Amino acid sequence: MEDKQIIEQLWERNENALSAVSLKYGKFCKAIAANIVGSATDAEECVNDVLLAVWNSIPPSKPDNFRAYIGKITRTNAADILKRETARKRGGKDVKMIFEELSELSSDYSVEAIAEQHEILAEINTYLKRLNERRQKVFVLRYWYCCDVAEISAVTGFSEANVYNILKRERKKLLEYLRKRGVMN
Amino acid sequence: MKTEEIFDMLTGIDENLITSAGEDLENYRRSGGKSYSVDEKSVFSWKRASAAIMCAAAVMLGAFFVVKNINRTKIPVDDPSSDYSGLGNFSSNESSGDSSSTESSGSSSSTESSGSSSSTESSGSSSSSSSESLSSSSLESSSSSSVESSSGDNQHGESNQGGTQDISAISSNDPQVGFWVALHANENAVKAGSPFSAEISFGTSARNLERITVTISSEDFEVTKSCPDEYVVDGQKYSNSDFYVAPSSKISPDDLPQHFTISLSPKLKKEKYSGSTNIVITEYLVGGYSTGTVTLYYYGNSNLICFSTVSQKEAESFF
Repeated sequence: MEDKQIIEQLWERNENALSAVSLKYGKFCKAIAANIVGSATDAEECVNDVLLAVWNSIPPSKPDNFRAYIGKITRTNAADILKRETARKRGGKDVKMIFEELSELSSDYSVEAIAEQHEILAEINTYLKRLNERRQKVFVLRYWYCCDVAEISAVTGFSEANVYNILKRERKKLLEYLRKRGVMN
Repeated sequence: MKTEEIFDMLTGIDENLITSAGEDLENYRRSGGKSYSVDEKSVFSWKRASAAIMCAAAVMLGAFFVVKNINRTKIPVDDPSSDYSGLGNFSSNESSGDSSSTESSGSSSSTESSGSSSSTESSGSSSSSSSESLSSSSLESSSSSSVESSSGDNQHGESNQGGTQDISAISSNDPQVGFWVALHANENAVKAGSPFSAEISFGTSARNLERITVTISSEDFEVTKSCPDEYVVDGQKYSNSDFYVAPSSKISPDDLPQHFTISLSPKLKKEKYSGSTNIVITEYLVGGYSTGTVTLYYYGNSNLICFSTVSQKEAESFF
């Protein structure tokens, strides 16, 4: 079923739409959730929550890009589960490392920027769009989909060593870019 | 700001980027790289064990058939004395691209040499999110083998810094064989008619391939390339748009990368329009086939052809 039809059915409150969402995007959501929470049970729970969230949010929402929309809900839910699970030291196998990597970007923001986080995000998006497509994918696969380096290497065609180097370099460049743009001190 | 907040904030990354990367990830996993199913090792380890046994049996069966077919197959041998057998000849021959008959001949040869009746095809991957993107094609694979080694080799790793777009693919019948073509241009742009340099290579696990064919064509641009017009193997004359990388009778990773150039001129001279160049990669002995598309912009004002990531203003600043 096309995304447009699914959304139409959701607007009509037709429960078949949920089966269609589950069929079409269940594995996609489960993969994202599993990368983050690291447990099959939690990933399953997360996907169920996503279906509920989709049911509750459409209508009134009418997403243009349903895949990204549902992916975002999944990521947010999985991150919430991770926060609960962190105390129990669980999580996807690479999530801890991803958090360590992101910690390089986590300090020194200007007070104004912290208040207006969407400005930081806008600058990050601008930076990413300036990269070539393969580098964009490396970044997004790592920090959005939380993929491990071996998988990123296989998807993008870079060697694993290059993936590490690209991630390191792009974090550094992004940091410099954010400083130049006045978002960071 | 806490790391968790950064992580949460990144959820809002541009949807086109998310979709594009997600599609590649999905294609890779569907092609047998990794199942979408969650790792349930701790709960169902016996399932994994039985799956491993079945995989091993399948691999052995596959190997048996390959050995059997290799013995039966007549393998065309490239003429080492050919004018086209080395890199040095690539620059002296130019022709316009016309790939109409290439693909079918490629497919049939592929089938013959591999002894396999299956012909798996893949078109450039659907990059629904952005018309500007280069599609990185992936092939549907009938094999359950790992495709970890299908990545382009290390020589390519950093080469896309600056002006590079590339096409990569994995072989349909043997996911171990990954190959790619990269187009380079200084600063992501060239004057119309000036050459893009191109490089072809494949994964280090590829061994003893017979030939790789790269066919370049475009509905939007006139294509001129510095590679052989034609090449005769086993008495069969291929169409003049084929480019055969055949430095020896069997190609190994040591023979690559190979280099050639293509020059593009827009068929329409508008102020601005985008066009695409199709690159088809066919690998013989094993029988892989893939299509990729590079989208380029032509800016009539400045007579520049650019990779799709570059604006006219940026492109003009390079010259």
